Amino acid sequence: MRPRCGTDMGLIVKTSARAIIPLIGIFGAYIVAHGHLTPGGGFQGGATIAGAGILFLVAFGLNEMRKHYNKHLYSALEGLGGLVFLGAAMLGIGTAFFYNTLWHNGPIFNGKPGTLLSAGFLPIMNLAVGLKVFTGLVSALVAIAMYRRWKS
Amino acid sequence: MNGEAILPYLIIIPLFGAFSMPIVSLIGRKAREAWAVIISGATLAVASALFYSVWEDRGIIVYTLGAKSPLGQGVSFPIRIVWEVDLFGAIMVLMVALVSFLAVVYSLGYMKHDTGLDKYYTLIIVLELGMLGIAITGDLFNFYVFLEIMSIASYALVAFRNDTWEGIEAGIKYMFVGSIASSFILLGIALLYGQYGTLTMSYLAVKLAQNPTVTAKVALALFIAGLLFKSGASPVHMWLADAHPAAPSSISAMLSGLVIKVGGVYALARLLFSIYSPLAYKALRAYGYPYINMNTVGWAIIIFACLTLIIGNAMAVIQTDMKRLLAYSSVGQIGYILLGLGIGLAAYGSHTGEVALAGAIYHTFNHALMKALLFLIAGVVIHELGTRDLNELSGLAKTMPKTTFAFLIGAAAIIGMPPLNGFASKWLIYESSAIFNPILGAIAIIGTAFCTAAYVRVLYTFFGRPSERVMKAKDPEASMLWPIIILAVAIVIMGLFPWQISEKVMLPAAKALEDQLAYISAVLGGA
Amino acid sequence: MFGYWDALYFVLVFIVGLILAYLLDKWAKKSGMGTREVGEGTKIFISGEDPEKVIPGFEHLEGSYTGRNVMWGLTYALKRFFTALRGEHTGLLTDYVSYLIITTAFVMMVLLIWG
Repeated sequence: MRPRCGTDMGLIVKTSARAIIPLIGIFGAYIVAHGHLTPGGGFQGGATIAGAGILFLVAFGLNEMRKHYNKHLYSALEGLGGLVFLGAAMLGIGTAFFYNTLWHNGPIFNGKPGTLLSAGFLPIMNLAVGLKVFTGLVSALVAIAMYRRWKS
Repeated sequence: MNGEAILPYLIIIPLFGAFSMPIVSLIGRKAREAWAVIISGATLAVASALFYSVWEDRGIIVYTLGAKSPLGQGVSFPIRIVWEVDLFGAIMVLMVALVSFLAVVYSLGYMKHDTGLDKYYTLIIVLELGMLGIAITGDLFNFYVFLEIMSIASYALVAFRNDTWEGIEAGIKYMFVGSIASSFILLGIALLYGQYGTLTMSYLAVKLAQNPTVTAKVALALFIAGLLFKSGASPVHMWLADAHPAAPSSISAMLSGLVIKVGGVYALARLLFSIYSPLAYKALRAYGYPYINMNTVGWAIIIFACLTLIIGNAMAVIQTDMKRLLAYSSVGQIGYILLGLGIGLAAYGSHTGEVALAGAIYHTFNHALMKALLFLIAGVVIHELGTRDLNELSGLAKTMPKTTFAFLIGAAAIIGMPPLNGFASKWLIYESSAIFNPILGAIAIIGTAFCTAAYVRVLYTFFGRPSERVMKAKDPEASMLWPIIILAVAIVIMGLFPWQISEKVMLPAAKALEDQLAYISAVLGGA
Repeated sequence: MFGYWDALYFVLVFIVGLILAYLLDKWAKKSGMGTREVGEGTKIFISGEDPEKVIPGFEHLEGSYTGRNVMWGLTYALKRFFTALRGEHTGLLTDYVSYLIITTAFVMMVLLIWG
């Protein structure tokens, strides 16, 4: 039997999803924040966080997702992610585009290599890319879910 | 003006515009449209300044991302991404920015009745960004990234009218085959990187000249095949005839006028002249070292060019769909450009080769203007009449005189009628091909005969007796009319000074493209 | 630069052509069969199909002649060439991919043998 459009997947799945979604989110946030230290980075972490959003969509159904999803907010946030990335790249425009001035001159992002506040603009860029990928992927999946052509 | 200081803004401005478009479009429709026009206008200003700067001091601008110098610390080879603009690249930058700006202005009127316009304007600016990046980059992987930005934006824009089967089908086909071609190009880049360990074009050229291997030949074959596809050469032109008519007309103008040239022909020329160079071939052969035979490559391109010339123009003759006719005509004109490129490669070092190359560059620019004009006019016709079937369009000249007159100018220019701009560039290609090999000259003329037949059919239709359908039509509103007028005037003015433009701009551009040593030493410096 | 060309010469030739066309038009009006200044009698019939004639099956196009038949001679003479061309443009995705593969193989073969 095909599940009807917009309905949830039942109590067991919903309860498990409630427990798992925060964990996925935290793990994704870890990957984004440690992008310059460990494998992974903005894109991978953003995709992981988007996994939480997609799990919400699958487990709770499209109708519930519609209540929590605002198209304008998400596309504005996606644009914001790109703008922050571009702004970080522009910080060192006096020397060159993409010049890592935060790493060479400070203020806070020039700590000892291996610590969280090192690598100059890279953590900022990772956060921006993570935001962009998360919002973009969730928007894409919601769009796919909404554009089912068959009648429910 | 300092070209090096303004070069990054060529990328920063469209990138900023594309990222901020979703936020700006929250304010409203007018703000979004104004923003798109401002962004593309500012890009055009930067592009003109850059072109003037490069043209004035005839140098090569090198810009390093992330540091002052592209060379690594304590080593003598480049490790960073570099952007490198010579006169050829600067011409492409100017062409892209100009036609994109006009297409955006035209969209204000043309796309008035569509929805989803925030995505449309974002994508159109991203498309422009990708092409500008290809034109200025000096790094092989950076080139691939920009190529994909451009390609994916164009897949999405071809399928923009997603309420018709035509757009979806063409977009899907274009995306599938285009992705395969892109992956060929990526495979070629990977092979070169594995073999030589560098991605900087100029340093790669040095390594290639030192040690030309079979891997490099395989990579070259993959590049040529992928880029011939992207430029729409026969026999891999079929996607073009599906994709270009299906897109909205302002996008068709950009696809036919810019994408197939910057993403195809320009990239091919850059690879063949600046990385795999006929100069190194001549030198290595003279001293008995192993070499990659660029003469063969030149002839392979000439063969594809001749096929493209004949098939593209001949298919245009039997079309009844106006935009499809224009798309096939684009294929035919790409044949001329490739012919000039191939002769420039095969006859490298002689005056003939240089003139052929100059003709190819000149025709690239001219055809961008002409085809953009013709597609914009096709858009006006669709906008007014809702059809592009040539059998129903007879007698447009009565009710849309300005549009028809502009079409007359565009068609005459593309056929190569003097005194319009198409004449000079085609003449350079005919004459150099006739000197190089008379058979090629004859084939080029046959192609033009087919091209003339195709456009005479359209003109005969337009000037025929008006049918009832066209009586309601009228000339379009100002935002759609002005881009057409500007392009038509540009065609006429460029046609009045053909040899001056050729000697002042196009021949130096061909020389800059041929001069591989300057391209290399601009990055490597004294090292 | 090869050859010599100046756009002004073309403008000159164009003006001469316009004058010739005007004279020709004058001559045709004077010596044509038409006898009246206005109406049907003024028509100069050059060649081709009569636009007034109704063609069976194309009644909806009555009175409007299109570019459909302009290049009839060319398309008829090269009928087999055009049929072959049309046959190759199938519009199938698999054919597009095949042509791409064939092109790649051709270029690679040429480069490996003669490169």
